[in-house]
Amino acid sequence: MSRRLPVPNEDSGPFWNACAEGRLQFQWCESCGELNWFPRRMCRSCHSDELRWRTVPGTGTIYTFSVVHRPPGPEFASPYVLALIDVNGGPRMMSHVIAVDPDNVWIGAAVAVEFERLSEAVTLPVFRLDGER
Amino acid sequence: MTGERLDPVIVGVGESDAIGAVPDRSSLALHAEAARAALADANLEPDQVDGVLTNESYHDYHVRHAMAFAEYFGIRSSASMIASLPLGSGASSGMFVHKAADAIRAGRCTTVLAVSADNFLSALRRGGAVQALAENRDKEFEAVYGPILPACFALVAQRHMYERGSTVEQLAAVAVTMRRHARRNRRAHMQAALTVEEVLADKTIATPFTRTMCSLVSDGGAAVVVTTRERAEALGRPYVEILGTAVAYGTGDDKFTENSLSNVRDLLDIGTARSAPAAMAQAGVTWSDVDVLMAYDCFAITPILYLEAAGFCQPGEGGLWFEDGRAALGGTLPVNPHGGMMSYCHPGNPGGLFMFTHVVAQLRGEAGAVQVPGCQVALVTGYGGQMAFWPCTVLGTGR
Repeated sequence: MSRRLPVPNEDSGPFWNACAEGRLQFQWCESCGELNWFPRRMCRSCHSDELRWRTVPGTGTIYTFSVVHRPPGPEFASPYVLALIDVNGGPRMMSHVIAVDPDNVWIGAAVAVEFERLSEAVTLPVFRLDGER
Repeated sequence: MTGERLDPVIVGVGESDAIGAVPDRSSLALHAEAARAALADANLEPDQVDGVLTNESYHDYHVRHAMAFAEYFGIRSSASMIASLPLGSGASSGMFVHKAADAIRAGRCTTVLAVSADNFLSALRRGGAVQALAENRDKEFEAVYGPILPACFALVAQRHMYERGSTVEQLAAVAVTMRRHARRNRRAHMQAALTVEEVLADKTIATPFTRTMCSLVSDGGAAVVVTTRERAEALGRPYVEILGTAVAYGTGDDKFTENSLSNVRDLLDIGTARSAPAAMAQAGVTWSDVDVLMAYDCFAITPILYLEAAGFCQPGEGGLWFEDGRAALGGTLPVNPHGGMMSYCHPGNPGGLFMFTHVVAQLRGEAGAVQVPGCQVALVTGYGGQMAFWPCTVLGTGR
């Protein structure tokens, strides 16, 4: 079985398109300033239509992580590092920390985004350690 | 008769004939067994049930689950409420009691049967259960990263260790406490002795959790019957008072409710910090009145979080309560005397409903070898959609 991929829709298309171009972008409300994540049609704080995409540098820190030894299925090579990343200037997002010794990952570690092309439609943002402990 | 005539009370509880590994029963059969046992316990005839609440099932899918159960079990057409709650495993049992109590108070129903069951172990098997629960997360921005449920709670545990200094030994002590309780309870799924060393040496699932720090995968069903005080008095059966129910959506810090993990600002600030005081205020009780805590122990971190969030101890002290026995039978506040979902029974969604079937026995003084002496007030917690909603229920001895 292959990994079940996200299906970009009317709301999320621009996010995935930017990933395919090697950019991480999120929506901010021009009217009230709220950062909206995941992608959506209108601002969830003030319901304004004025959501604008803005690209962030793609750096961040690890808020928390777990080294997963029991994957949901054979389509995942384990162990892998599941993490919640605080994206600098952006939201918190779930992702993987890749290319790392699982015993050498820590909360607060600096990370930088990389992109894994999984299909025509989906290029997945993942993160790599960005600096020493 | 004290209190109001239409006050909601729990008048009957039941479980499927067997729990644990029950390979020869369908999901609906387990529902029916638990429901029949609860009605018998309440001394009620089937035609007296006019409200039904069920949960959807992870593997036995019915577009209208509650209607499918009602047809299977023979609910009469005079019923005035038949509804299923969405899969929200950890919260569903608390939501059952919350919604049943509302329906009773509103006069919509006089007798609500809330039932949940699944053959999680025998039908889905362990791998299928892991897969089903991995699909719990946001389908576009989380599921693709393989967030198995243990890993999602591991994210919480790692943060708790980092911020509040809990240890893997304390997480192991939660599992060991549950097992010690289960070993005094002959019905419990797991009976083998378990030590902290064995928990730590067990197979790693998702750091910091080993297999025995995770809840079981079991088969089984549970049911509760909620009715009016007036009817309970007439039935002549001992009943338990529903003194307070409250649900918090979202964590304390967040402006919005969140269905995902990604958007929760503080994974340690669980909504129980709001729903527990609200339910206790409604009940007119305080921390020192609570004799037993039923903590939705899907993973070893959650009982620790409940103790801290509900205010029984300071942040960072929850783990100590399991290490030094304050949370064990005979301690300051026994947690899950039945053995919890880590050692008694966890068939997925119904896991939390066994907290109610057990605590009713506690409050009636019928819990046998695991009876908490003089048990009069109980707090039952829930943890739904991981970080989405948190019900709390306060129950008390009735008559």
